[in-house]
Amino acid sequence: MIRFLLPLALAVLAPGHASASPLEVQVTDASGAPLANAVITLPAPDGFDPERHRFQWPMMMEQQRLQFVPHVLVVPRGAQVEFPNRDRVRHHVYSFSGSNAFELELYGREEARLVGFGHPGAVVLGCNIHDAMIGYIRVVETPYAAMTGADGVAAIADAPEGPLTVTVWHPYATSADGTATLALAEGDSAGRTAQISLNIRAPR
Amino acid sequence: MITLLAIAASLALTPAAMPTPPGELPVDPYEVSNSNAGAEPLSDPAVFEAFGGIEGIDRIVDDMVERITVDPRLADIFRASDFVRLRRTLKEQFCYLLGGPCDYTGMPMRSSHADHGITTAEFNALVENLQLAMDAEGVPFRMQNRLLALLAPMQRDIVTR
Amino acid sequence: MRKIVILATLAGAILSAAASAQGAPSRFDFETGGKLLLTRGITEVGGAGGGGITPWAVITGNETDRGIGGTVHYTRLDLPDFTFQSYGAAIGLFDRVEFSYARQEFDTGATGGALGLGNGFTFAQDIWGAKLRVAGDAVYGQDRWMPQIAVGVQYKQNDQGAVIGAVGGDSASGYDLYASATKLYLSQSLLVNVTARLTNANQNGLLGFGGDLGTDHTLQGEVSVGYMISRRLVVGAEYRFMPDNLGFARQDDWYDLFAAYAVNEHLTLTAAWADLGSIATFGEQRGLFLSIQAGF
Ligand code: HEM
Repeated sequence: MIRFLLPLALAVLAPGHASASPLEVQVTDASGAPLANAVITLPAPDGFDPERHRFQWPMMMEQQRLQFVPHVLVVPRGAQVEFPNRDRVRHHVYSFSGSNAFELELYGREEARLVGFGHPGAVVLGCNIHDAMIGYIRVVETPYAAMTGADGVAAIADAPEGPLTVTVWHPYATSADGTATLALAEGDSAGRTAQISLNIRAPR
Repeated sequence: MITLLAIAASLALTPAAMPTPPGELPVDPYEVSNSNAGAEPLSDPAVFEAFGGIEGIDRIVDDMVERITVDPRLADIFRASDFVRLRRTLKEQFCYLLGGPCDYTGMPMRSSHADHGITTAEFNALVENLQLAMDAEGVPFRMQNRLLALLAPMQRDIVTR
Repeated sequence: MRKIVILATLAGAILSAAASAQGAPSRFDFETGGKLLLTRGITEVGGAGGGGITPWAVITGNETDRGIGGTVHYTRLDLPDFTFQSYGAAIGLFDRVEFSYARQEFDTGATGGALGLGNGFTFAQDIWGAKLRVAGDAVYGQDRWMPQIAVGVQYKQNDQGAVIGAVGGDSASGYDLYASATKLYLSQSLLVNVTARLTNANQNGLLGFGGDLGTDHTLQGEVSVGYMISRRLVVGAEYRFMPDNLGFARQDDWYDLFAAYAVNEHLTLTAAWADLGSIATFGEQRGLFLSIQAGF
């Protein structure tokens, strides 16, 4: 949660951002229950270079107690991600996700290797040793990205003004690419105090 | 201080918890029992003798552990192991199974190996290293097989993949 | 600040990651190798993983339940009046299934002339085999009485149909069905295999299938016993009962005394003294049996 509030706080403290304001999105499932680990993104500004971008959270996918921590990690395209093994057992991490496919040899505790993710999209992580281990890396090409916490809320502190398309991705989404989008009209963006409730149906 | 007392109290309340021996990493509490050794001990004193008694078993285990840490088929599995504990418990286990005057204080085979994702090929690789270590100690082959006959069924508990 | 509630009808959303389109990646990997030395057996004359003259319940190749393996073999048996050869290849899948092919050649040499077949006349047959391991574990089941059990079939096609008919054989092709039970008694360093075979083959099929004395399949027993001297060396004996369907030539049981040596995980050499008894009226056919098997 802190990782979402932090940019929020920074944005509030930075008066220079005249054309940006905080955007908060809540993601729930069909039954209305808050959905954690959903990633929301906004289109990147012109000329944005994801390769040079840094998010505020560490580019790190740990293996701890036979789980990937965090369960979902958002990285900019081109990021080099560390995979430290905090367990006393070996892990054999791999992904078959398209052009981001990779495989890390077995390794022991505390050893970290870097894996680069050069293509946008969702990367499903598995462990060859522990079938139950599943994690996700969401590779994005925008500086505007945030992940929902347990309350289903994600915040982007410096969302641009104007009409916006919010993309939400969740690992368990049934849509082909796991995403759903929400268009915010110019007016929605202007009226930042208004509370808007929207339904998004999974595209079929 | 209060935290320490609380920890001490919780340890005392877990009847099976052993204090962590010096030089070893702590492990989750478990019930200490010779039945954790995974097989009934042999009663034929000739076998224990053929293994060179406690000293012989100690040398075999030390040699085997050294071999598995450099065996490319196994090294990764043991990269983060507590070798002080592993040597101690393996020595206890072999001594106990061979009918020696030892108790096994380690964990059951199933729980101590469950998360390591061990394959049959890896199990066999470890057996080969044990065979080499027993050869180096001069244990006759048919006596080696007396021990291996007890260890072989543990494959079903140790191999999970 | 605006608050936007996205009701993501990500239908059945949190059912299970594995069930969704982006669920757990699946993985199909074959490993090779992993068996302990000698536990794949050698290759019997019919091409199956086993002893020298009888299939065992072991699956050929070095693979474990996670992989594939394979072997090739060449076996030669020099008898007083004939030369017998067998060569072929077999694959093992997941230490569970085995498929094999072997070609057997039985060169009558000068004896062929004496039999009126012509010098160097050679009976040959192709043997296609399949074997399925159905229960037990010969190596790890040390605490159980249950042996490793496999069932198998061998289809044999002899290429000398005319001669087989002339000597009273019923058919030039046939099949054997067998069940094998193999057990390692590690604490005795002993290996035992028992095979029951339903067959109507004459001399393993080299003289065809069925004959003037009978065409039905009969149940024949085969036994192998081995003593392990070291990880690499096993010595033992085998006995194989044979049916007797041809009037012109009595058929004797086969037996051998063998020593098999694993040079390394890939190569196994076997030498045996084999006695096939009387073949095509020529008695006391015994001699040196040499076999080389290479595999992974
Ligand atoms: C018959 C065969 C085996 C026996 C008798 C055996 C015995 C033991 C014992 C006594 C322990 C210590 C338990 C404790 O800490 O209380 C242990 C731990 C362990 N064993 Fe085995 N083991 C066998 C096979 C294997 C194999 C085949 C592997 C892997 C290839 C393996 C990997 C390990 C590992 C990684 C540990 C944990 C070490 C640590 O983290 O400290 N074991 N085993």
